[in-house]
Amino acid sequence: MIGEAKRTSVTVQEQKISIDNLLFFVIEANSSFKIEHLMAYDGVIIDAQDESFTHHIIKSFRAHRNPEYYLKPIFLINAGEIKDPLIRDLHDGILFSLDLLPENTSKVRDIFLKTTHLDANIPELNEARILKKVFDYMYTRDLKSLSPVIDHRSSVGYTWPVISVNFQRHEESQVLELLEWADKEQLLNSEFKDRVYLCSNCSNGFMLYREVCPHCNSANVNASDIIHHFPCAYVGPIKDFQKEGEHVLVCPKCRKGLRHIGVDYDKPSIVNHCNSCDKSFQDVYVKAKCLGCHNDVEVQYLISHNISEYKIATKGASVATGAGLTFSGKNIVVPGTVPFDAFKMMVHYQLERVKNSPQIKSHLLSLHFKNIDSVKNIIGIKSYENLLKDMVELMRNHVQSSDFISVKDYDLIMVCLNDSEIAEAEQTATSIVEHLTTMVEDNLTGFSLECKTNLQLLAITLKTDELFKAALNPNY
Amino acid sequence: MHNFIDEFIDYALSMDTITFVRLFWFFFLFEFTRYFIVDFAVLLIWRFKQIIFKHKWDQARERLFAEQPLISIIVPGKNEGKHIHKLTKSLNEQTYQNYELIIVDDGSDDQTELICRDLERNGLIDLFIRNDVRGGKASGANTALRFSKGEIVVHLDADCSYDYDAIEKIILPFYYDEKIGAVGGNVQVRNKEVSLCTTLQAIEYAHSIGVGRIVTSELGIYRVVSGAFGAFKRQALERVEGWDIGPGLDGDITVKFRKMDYRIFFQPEAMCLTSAPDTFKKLQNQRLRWDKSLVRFRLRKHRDVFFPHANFKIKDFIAFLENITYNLLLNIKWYFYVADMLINASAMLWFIVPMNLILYTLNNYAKYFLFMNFRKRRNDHRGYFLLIFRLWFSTLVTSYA
Ligand SMILES: [Zn+2]
Ligand SMILES: [Zn+2]
Ligand SMILES: [Zn+2]
Repeated sequence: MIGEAKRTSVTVQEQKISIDNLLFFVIEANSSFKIEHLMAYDGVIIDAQDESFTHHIIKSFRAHRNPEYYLKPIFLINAGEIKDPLIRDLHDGILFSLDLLPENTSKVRDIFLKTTHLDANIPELNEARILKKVFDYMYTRDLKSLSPVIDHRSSVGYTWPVISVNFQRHEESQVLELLEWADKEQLLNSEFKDRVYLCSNCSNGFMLYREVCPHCNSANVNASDIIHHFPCAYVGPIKDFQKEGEHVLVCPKCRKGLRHIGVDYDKPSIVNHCNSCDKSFQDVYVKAKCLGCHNDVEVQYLISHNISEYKIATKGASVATGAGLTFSGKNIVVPGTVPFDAFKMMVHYQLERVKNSPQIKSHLLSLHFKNIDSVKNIIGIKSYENLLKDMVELMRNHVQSSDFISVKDYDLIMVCLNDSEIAEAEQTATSIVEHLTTMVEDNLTGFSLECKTNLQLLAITLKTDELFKAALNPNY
Repeated sequence: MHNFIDEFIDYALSMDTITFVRLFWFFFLFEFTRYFIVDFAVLLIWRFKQIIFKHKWDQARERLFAEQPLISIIVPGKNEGKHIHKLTKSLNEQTYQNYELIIVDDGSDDQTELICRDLERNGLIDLFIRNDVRGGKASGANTALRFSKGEIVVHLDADCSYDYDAIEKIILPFYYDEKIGAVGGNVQVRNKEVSLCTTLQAIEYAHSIGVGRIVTSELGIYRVVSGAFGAFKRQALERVEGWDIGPGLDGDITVKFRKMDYRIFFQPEAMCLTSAPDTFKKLQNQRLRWDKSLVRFRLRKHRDVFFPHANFKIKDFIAFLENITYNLLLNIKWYFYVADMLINASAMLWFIVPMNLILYTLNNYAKYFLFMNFRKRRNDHRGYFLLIFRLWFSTLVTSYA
């Protein structure tokens, strides 16, 4: 051990350690400093005696926006048993003594080498930026998957440290959403591990479960055995058969004592009684009271999510090295719309209809939102999708119920206006744009939506492909 | 053949009245007197009373709808899940709406529990109680009774269907007369066109329930409140602590009610349709069950009514005699009559058998057309009487049943 250490030149000066031209900084437990001062160091060594301090430091690095920090090699010294999953998953090695540092330099160099392969562009969109960080980290650390770890501090009960470190702990459901989204986009592949049920209101996974009265929701419910006395067919809860001060059960109808279950009496069922509203019932509701928002709902209305291990997919792996991260939006599910493929088919049929009876006039309207990317970047994908849903709902109010709408992309919505004259269709297009612009501006102060419309008549001479070629081109 | 008819008519005309009655005493004593003359007289009185007490009935209805008492509709049964949704829908159509619906599942081994839990969750059933082990009809009804809250308890069968005003009509008598403790509904056959067997039962039900029960109720000797459709005063039910075990569920409780001085009332206006067994084999099984209950009900449990003591009431006694006579002993008397004829008039059987058929047939025709005016939905059965063949069959069935 010492011999090996002697082969390399180790210099310890205050908190700095220089080794093989690599410069490390030793962060003493509970010391106060800013990590921004550590940019120049090749790695840090944390004195991990105090877990919460260690947690804080690791989080400061890994959650940082700058790759110089979030990819920084971190070693721990004086670490005992590590319980915190965030510490456990996000360090690069545990040193039993500083003398062992030279053995880890190759690891540091490997990280540096891989870092040079990374694409230096940082996406603007918050979700994309975080995923890029995750893929960078996985690439430099040779991680092939993100495993869920039980964590009582996570609001969903599980955490995936590499990605979760970028969020506050009460935001863990956003981690879940982002992972599910990356799975849909085939950046990651999921493998089922467990299932959790989250509050439909605040996505918290911590609940108080109790049986409540289906009539008044009170938990003041008592269960009671029902007794059936065979000889006289009397049926009632056990209390009907109990007399004060007596141990034996006596039938209130025929006054006979109950002797032998299965022979002269039976307990065919259990009935609950609510002391709050005095109603009886067999079927109790199981309700979950959310510890986050105190929302009290029946368990069937909790939102179930799969907890999966996420394995990196080819598409995800290439994100780190420069494939770029695009959000196709093809998985957006907006109520009241049809998937684009189906939409195309329906327009095709409409066109056929027009060919058969030329007196029918139908129009294809496409709406391109030119500057929507910046909105996405400000409010995030999820809020943007909600905005999109509101926009579609608003459009629904301006078209006939027989018209169909499709969200082709985050910046392209199409509507087929069936049986409408040109003036009518133009009028509809104008009022939709007007209302959409107003709505978006009301919601996002200082932003003004640029919307380009394209209105085409479904003419007999047209083919479906030509129709869509024009409709899909924002500069038409 | 022609000769036979001539001879038959000559013989009939030459016979004096006394001999004729002697030969057909069974018909004249029972069929004609009890089921024609008495019935007709009582029906006339009943109709007359209906007219003069119409005002009182109207007042009862006003009071019922002013007070709107909660009533408990209880439906015990096994494997009835498939009928329940239809039942809840038909109850939703009722003119009387202040009811709670309690379903007791007595050890079903099908989808009943799933279906009913779902209906309960959706508010179509107020209380669903599931017993894993079958306990019998009485215990099912008692379970529902124990957890019901209504002032009046209406007992229904899941597979019957009810007129839109049936619930209103069956609870109305409680507001007409304080002394009424139980009301029986008018059960008729729904599937009358399915087979000859069901057609005959439709006729039988129309006669014995639609008309017969008006008569017994009017005479104060009505005893069987149908399990398919009956209403009971909660107070009275609680005093007797519910139904007793055994097949004679329907009859038992009304006897107890009478002992407590309650009147039992038949309400022909409260219409309920049931599915009758569609083969004679099934019918026979059903009747065997009924007969067993009758014997038990009459002779074992309520022996005290045969012997005068504190419980004795002359009306009860007559009710018993009436029923025993016409349900159980009738058969014996019928055999007695057959024996009498075989021994004393065996030479004239060629005349007696066809003449009996003619008498019964004529009697049934007369009854049918005369009583038609007293039946609810009188036109329903007209079609069935067009075939004399069927009428003869009904004669046989009614005299043997
Ligand atoms: Zn919540
Ligand atoms: Zn008992
Ligand atoms: Zn309650």
